[in-house]
Amino acid sequence: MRLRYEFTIMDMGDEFAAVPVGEDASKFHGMLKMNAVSADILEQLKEDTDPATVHKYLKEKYPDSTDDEIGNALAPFLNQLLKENLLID
Amino acid sequence: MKRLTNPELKVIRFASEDVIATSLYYAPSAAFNAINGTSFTSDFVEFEGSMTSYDPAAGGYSVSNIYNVKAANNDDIDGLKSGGSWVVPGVGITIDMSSMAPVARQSYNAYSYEGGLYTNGVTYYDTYWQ
Amino acid sequence: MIFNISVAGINIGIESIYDAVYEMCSKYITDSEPDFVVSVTGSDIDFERQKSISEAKYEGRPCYNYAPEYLETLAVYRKIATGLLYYEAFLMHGSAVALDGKAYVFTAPSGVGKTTHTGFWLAKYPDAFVINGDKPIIRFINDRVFVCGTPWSGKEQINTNAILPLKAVCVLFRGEENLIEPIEFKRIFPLVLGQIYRPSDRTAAEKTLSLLKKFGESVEFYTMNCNLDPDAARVAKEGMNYE
Repeated sequence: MRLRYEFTIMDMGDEFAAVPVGEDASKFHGMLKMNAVSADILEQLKEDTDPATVHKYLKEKYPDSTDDEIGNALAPFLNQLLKENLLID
Repeated sequence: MKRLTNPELKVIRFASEDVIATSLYYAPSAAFNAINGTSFTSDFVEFEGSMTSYDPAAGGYSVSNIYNVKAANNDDIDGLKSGGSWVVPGVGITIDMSSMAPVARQSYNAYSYEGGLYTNGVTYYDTYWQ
Repeated sequence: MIFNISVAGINIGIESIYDAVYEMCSKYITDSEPDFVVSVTGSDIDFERQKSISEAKYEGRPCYNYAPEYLETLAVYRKIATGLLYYEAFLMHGSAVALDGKAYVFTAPSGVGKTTHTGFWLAKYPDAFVINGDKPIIRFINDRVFVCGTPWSGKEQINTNAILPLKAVCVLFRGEENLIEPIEFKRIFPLVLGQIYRPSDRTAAEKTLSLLKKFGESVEFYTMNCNLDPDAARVAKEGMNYE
């Protein structure tokens, strides 16, 4: 599982923007607006990975969240990326 | 306390793919390919009609008996008003609109702050004339 | 044809197949040695043809059979826009108007009314002039932002060979009443990004984003709802100069 397009992630202050670069910029004519957590997850998805590995990464970074809380946040986010055709499964 | 906040993401699609290709452009040397009784197409207006030869006093050519006029956006439509005339820039063609009336309108939506297409409750029209 | 032009304070050599681009650049011709050179091949023209078809389909409008001479002018500008990035300059889709020694850029997707709004400025303010009615160059010079005229100025072909400091960028929307408001760059960033040239080359794209971020930090941004009342020009000008 990884991002379909190559993105550059920009810190805009209190939010982040992901803009496609390289040849992918001619395939995805848009950008992503997101918060810091989304930007962090997107960074993890730049290389081939899987939901369990991302889950583990978030668990280590946010030790006060339960597995359920992380799962309930991560699953819809990954589904949104899939639905928007931004993720290669 | 290190708790995960919900990831938020919004996908925004641009109004154009490529800003170099986005603007409609009239290239006079290329667009003027009409002869009497056949169709004429410029880069932003299309119609059929009859054309006179170049008249220096009138400042260009005049085209009459126009029908099947189509224009791609409202900026171009501004010049196309029933009862008036419109000079095609670059080659000086004057289009006599006096016998024409609008026949069709196609709506399009305005663009949001986000750059994507959305409906804000106000509808704008492209007008087709005949 | 082989000739040199000066745009945004940079000398650019152009090697073209057709003469149309030379005719278009007549106000910008220079004898000075070029800082960089762009040359066009048949495949560049084919690329522009494909782009124009693709763009028309994306925007849901008819695509016309553009002449190769016209497509070559786009190919030249695309290469120039990429080359200028390394001189701290980028191409923006918008109408740039000058008044009292300052430039104002109005941007919006095609068809919203940049040209109409520009016309209102020219009618209301006799000393106003158009720097570029379609695709000006924005350049940082000693950390100040300037708007530069270029020959590539849309179907009306209205442009002035001038470089002026940028006062503000105004994003236009159609509305029932004329109303202008300042806006934080980060809120309008997606729309502005959508109106600048985004090259596909990775290095050039990242350079573009870096310049855009600097642009956001250096310039005032406004949004304006405008109707077909010519008073829109006064509302815009006063709104962008409100102290």
